[in-house]
Amino acid sequence: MIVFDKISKTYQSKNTSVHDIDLKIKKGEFVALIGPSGAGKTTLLRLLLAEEKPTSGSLHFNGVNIHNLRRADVPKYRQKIGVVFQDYKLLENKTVYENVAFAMEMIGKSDSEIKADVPHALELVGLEEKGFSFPTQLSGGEQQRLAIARAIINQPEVLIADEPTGSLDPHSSQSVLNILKKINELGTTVILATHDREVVDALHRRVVKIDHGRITRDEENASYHEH
Amino acid sequence: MSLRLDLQRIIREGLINFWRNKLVSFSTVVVMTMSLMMIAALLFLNAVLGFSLRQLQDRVDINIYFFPDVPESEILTLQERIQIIPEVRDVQYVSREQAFIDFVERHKDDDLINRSLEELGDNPLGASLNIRAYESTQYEAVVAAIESEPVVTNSEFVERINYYDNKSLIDRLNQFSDAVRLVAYAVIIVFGIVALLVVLSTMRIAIFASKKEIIIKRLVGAEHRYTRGPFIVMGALYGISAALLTMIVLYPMTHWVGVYTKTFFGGMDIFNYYLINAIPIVVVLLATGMIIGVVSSYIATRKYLKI
Repeated sequence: MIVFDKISKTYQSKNTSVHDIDLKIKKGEFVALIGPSGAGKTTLLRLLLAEEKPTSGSLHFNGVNIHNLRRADVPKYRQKIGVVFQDYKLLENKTVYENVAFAMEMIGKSDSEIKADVPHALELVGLEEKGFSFPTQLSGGEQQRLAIARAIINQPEVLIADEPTGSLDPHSSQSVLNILKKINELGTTVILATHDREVVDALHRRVVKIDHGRITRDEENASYHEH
Repeated sequence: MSLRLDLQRIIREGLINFWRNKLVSFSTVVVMTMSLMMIAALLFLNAVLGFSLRQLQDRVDINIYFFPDVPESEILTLQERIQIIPEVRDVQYVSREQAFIDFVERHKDDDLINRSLEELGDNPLGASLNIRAYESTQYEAVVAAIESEPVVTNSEFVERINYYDNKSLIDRLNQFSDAVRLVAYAVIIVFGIVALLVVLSTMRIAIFASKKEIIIKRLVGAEHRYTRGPFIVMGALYGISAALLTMIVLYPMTHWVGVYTKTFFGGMDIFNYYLINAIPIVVVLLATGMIIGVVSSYIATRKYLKI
């Protein structure tokens, strides 16, 4: 489904870069992308979201080289991917409800579908009481969960979560993880970038480790540290 | 997705953003109002200039003076013939009697003239025709047409045509009108561009504040119309609000300035002009405001849509 084919990305100004990444992710997989901060996890996710173009190599999604897409086709591609950004990227001018509704409006859902689905998604992440609040009025954990609600509302083919448990207490981390597992069980491919050892160990799924911009380990049903 | 639903959502979002970003909306509307005030001031200036020029032009006419013994019927026939010349606005017949009354009235304080008239005992003045054209540039053509009339070429009838006395004045007035119009248009265009640039910069700042929002929308898969659309709606709303605010501010301003223009520019009251032309003025301001707002939004958002 997703194929990184000898992808390299180097920046002039930043130290983070990735080199010769070869990675295949099958439909329905749950992949934990691990590695220390600055190892290149976020860069890979940015490449996957067509936010950046690779310096060399290609990236295929369902057989299409996404960096050859016309600019007008990029939104349609992004609509297939749900993203939980490390910094949440919530729309501060919109209420909790509107943030989730916006994602549905993007793909042309009707007002009645939006009215039916959004409360459901907010309930799933435990924000049903906060519909009228603005993101700035939420705690870090609540913002994180709102970002998840927005990412999953359209039942995307792929869900990318960049450090979704980074600022959460263990209890909240567990509930976020449960949501991700549930989504994955429903058939969505999940790519989770994290350096949270407990999360990875609890998952016990495919682990891809990146260090200094290179894949140093790729193992099924694995834990954070190599045995 | 239906176009109606799309449009409905874009307009709704534009309206909500306009309301929620009150401070940004307020400052943008204020700057835009000032620009529109400048444009309105130029419209008024143009009207005042036009009025003053028309006043001057109205004072220009051609007079044909006849000898006292020319039969009135000949003159009246000529008046009818001149009246049908396309460039002629009106032809006024001043009879011998009327000319005498006017003359006496004009010189009622001049004893010498009064005594001379009494001694003369008869009306020495001839009748005349006062001809006015629509435009001061048309007098040349009007004179040519009049001079082809047999009554006029008859040297026993016509004592004098004063066009040639006024010719240099008319020519100068024409040149002056052209120059003034040209300057007025140039000023309007230059200030219009300045207003556009000022609003554009303000909108850029307003949209810069929303840069993050645009980028987020792009990353979650929003198409151009969804990222740019609401800003275009906001731009139009800024324009509409500024136009209405300008109309409100113009009411007391023209009232105040009108007092001065009435005495200074030969009787034109710009407050009255504002009241009579309120609808065309509001249409011009709305159209200008909306165009400036929409174009500025379009240009200012372009930069952030590349992601």
